[in-house]
Amino acid sequence: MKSFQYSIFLLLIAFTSCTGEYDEDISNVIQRKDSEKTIAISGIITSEYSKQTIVVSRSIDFSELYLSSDGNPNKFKDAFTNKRVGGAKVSVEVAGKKYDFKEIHDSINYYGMAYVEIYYESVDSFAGVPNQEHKLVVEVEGKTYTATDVMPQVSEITFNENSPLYLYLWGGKGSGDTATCYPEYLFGQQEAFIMGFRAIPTPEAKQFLGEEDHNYNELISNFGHPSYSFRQLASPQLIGAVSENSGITRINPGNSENMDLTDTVAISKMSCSPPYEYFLYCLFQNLKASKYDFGEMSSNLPTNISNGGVGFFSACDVKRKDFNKWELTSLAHSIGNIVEPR
Amino acid sequence: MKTFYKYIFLLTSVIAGFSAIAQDFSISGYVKDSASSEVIVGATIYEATTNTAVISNEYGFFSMRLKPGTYTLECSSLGAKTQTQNVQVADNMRVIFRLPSQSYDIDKVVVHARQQTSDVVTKHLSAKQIELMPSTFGVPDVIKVVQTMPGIKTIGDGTTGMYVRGGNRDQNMIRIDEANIYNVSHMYGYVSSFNPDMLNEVRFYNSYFSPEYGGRISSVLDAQMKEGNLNSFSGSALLSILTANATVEGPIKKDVASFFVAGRRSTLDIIHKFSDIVNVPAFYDVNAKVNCKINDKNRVFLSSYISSDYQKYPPFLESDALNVSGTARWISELRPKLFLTTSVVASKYSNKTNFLDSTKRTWLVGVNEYTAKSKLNWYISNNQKVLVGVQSSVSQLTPGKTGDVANSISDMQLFEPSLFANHTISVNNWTFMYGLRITQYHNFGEATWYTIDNGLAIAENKESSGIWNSYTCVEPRVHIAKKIKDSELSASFTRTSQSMQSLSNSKLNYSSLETWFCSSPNLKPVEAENFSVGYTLKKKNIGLLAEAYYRNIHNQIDYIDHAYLLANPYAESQVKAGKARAYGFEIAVNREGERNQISASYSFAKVLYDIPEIMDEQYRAPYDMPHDIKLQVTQRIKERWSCSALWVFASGRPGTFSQGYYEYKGTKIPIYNKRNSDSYPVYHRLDVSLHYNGKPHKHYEQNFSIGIFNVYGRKNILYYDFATDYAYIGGNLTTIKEQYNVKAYYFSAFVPNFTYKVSFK
Repeated sequence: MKSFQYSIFLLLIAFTSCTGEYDEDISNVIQRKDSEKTIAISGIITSEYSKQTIVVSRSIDFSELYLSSDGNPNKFKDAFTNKRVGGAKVSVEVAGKKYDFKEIHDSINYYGMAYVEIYYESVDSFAGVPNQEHKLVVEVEGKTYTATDVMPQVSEITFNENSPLYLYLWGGKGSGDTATCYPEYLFGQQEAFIMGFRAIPTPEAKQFLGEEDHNYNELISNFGHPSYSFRQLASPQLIGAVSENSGITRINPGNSENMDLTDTVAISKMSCSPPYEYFLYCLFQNLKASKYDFGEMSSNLPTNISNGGVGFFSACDVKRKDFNKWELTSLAHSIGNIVEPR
Repeated sequence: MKTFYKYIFLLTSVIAGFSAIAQDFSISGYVKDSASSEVIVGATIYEATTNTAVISNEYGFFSMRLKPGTYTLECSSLGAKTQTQNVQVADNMRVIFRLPSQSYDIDKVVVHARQQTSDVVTKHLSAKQIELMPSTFGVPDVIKVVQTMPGIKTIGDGTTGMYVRGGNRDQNMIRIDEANIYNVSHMYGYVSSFNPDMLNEVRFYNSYFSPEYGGRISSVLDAQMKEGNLNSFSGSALLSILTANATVEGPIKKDVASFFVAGRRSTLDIIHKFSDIVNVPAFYDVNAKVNCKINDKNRVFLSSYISSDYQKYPPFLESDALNVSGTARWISELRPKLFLTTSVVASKYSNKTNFLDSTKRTWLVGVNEYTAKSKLNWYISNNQKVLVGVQSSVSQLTPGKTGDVANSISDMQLFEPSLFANHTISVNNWTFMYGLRITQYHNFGEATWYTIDNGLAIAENKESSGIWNSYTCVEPRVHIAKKIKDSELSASFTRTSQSMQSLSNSKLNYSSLETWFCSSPNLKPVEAENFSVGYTLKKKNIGLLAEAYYRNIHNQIDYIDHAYLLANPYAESQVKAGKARAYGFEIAVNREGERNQISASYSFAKVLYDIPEIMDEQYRAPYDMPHDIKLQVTQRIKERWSCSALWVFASGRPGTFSQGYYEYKGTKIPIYNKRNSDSYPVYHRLDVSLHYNGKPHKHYEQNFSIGIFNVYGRKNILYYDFATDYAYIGGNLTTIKEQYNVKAYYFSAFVPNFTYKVSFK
């Protein structure tokens, strides 16, 4: 009986794990059906008078990326090259005027490695026009891609308790310290907009960080989540905790209790046309799905690029205003608690 | 005048004489187990001289008509010894058969797989059969046994989801003692909600089902609980890797009232308290029943089912699911030919998920259902019976509630009255079954719903009282069969409808993140027309079943791209409705030998969705797996030893894989192939088990089984995870390269299991 009991005990312990995982052989998965490489175009024309930018790149096929067991370097791609496309002819038409773009080669340094980024910048500064259709034309590699978007007029900066906002932090130069919020659900009668919150470093913070335009993510990742000690150096507390992995969380812009009286937050509000709103909504679902096992349907994002292109071209009206702690508190209504990033 | 009265008297006598010669009498009664007095369902009562056969119903009741005379009635049933009784028929009479169980050391150990060779209408499963089938963790499981039937599809290991002839997993009616079960699984689906110890009989319908059954379009799994031993106390205890079970039954008053209680609790979570593995699910369930004979013609049953599931998946979430149901039934033999059943059922299902991150969100889903049903069986003659009935259900649905009203889906209420009737007649080897069910689906009471236009919610509608939306579904059903010597040809047509649907777009089969909806102004009830033709042959010890079918589904829903169901008050805008069609055929062969049983089945099935608002061409359903092969062998080795093996093979299920990406503002955006145009690898595995049945002692019996799930360790994929990652390569690690990874997740391979059971009497 003792040996019987012991056998049962061993059998029970043997069952210690339900699932396993392994790296699948890519050839079992890559089934090249709609595999033609596509041109991806992205750009936002704003109502702010400035040089506008458009990015033209090429999709990457996964068959180019898998790491072979023999470590053959030809089997995978450089991380930052061969995606941007040069040699394109780019123009934007709005309100009867046509603006040409020129190709820019930007040298960037990423973790000590030098790369060249290609994008297109308008020859002249111009501003998008609210309530007008904006048309993009890109001629590249023997094909012509067009896209149109009508720029909605943006309303004043307020915090409406009926418009729950979700936070998405975009990386990249110049936007790393901007926490950007989008409406989560699609409701036809609701205005769609993007809210940007940018902490303006206090003089003490600038002294600590130097004059460079530091990436906000870098500040967080190097110094941890915003804390009371960090509050004395900069003013990110309004935004609450953000995730260095582009997490999505819910914020209450009115919860400014952690702000100093001298802290300033630059808030921007950008209007979204209904097609752009839907594009952003689907982008969010895609990002959520990548984080959780109980995600959404795997499917392609919508696009307004013609001729088989992907990406999105949008036109957004922008309002900006700086707020100090008291202005913000009196403006905002309570729409929930600050929560930690997911 | 005298002469006139003489003639009248003579005529009356002649007529009375002829009447006496022509009049049939009713022989009715019950078939019971001789030891426990438990009723036996589906027993055959046969009279050879008139070639008359009838079947006992779900309460063990049978009714037969014979002319006056002397007859020998033979009563037989699976798992019981055949018994004969001589009867002298001169009036309506009562007959009770008490059949002794088959015991292992006397007769065959091998259990017949009737479901593969019986008529196409009803597939029966006995508790013994369930016990002997190889199971995932040594735990006998009725759902796992049903999944081994030809044409029943599953996706992935462990899951209790069934896909029957093109129907989704929420399109099967699964019930215990007339109570619908919404959460059919425990422990990620590795154990079903059916405790085999509590089962008396299970019937499965996937071809023709009586108009008595409604509310689901695809199949019916109808389980009946045991009633309890009316004669003496008995019990059992079982221990396996996953569960510890116990049952106790006995008379409350001998031959009058009895009780039965069966309980289970998970064991794995207890074991792993001593390890650092935290995401081990836990559950318990209890089935209880009281059976009381009011008098010879009236009986009352009270049964209940309670189950609770808890699983934690740190650091993301934990969930609690609760299933509670209660059934009160009164069966009454109004006349020898009239059998009335009235039942009242109340059930509650709730599933609460708590997110463990800083959001501290909750997600609550639930269904409360109240049903009253009455049906009258009229056994007109040996060859004819009529069923009529009425049913009324009220359901309160909580499709999804969070702590925030703005992110909750409004509760809904559904009133579902139905009328049904069925006529069965057998003439000259022909059998005709035809009937009609009429069901209405009414939304009523307080609710908020949204007008959806072009995928957006554009207007809010608040309802406060009364019926504010209705659908009526008419469901004709016909089955025709012709017996030709040892074979039978049959054809069926049924129309079925379904209001309540489960929405869950998780890639995990066992995800608890689902929501239950009912029909509404935005969602019509799903309706299906089902056509099938079948052929069965039973010759000596070989059986053959072949069936082909076609199913046309209307208002089939699927999710839009990027559908977001959780905490979305406009969740109805995330689905689109269209059509689906399914077709295929199933072939099963079974051979029953003295010491073994071998069965093999192959099925081909195709399921296509046609929903233009999602894709402008037909596409594969998420459970479209064309080929399916099952091989089972059960062999008696020695007097008390037997072994069994099960090999299953299935085509890989559809998937939507990404093939590349592009960048948008520094974010990688996957590029996917068309929906469901890819396939996971094929699925196959071999399970084996060895059974030992101990020598029966005076007061107890014991049996033991060990087995291995997935003997050759096939890594059947649960799902893929796609990601790109960066790799530093080169001799000085100064070059960043990008690589593409696909992680495959699979259920454990080569899983040993054991079960030890002791029964006391």
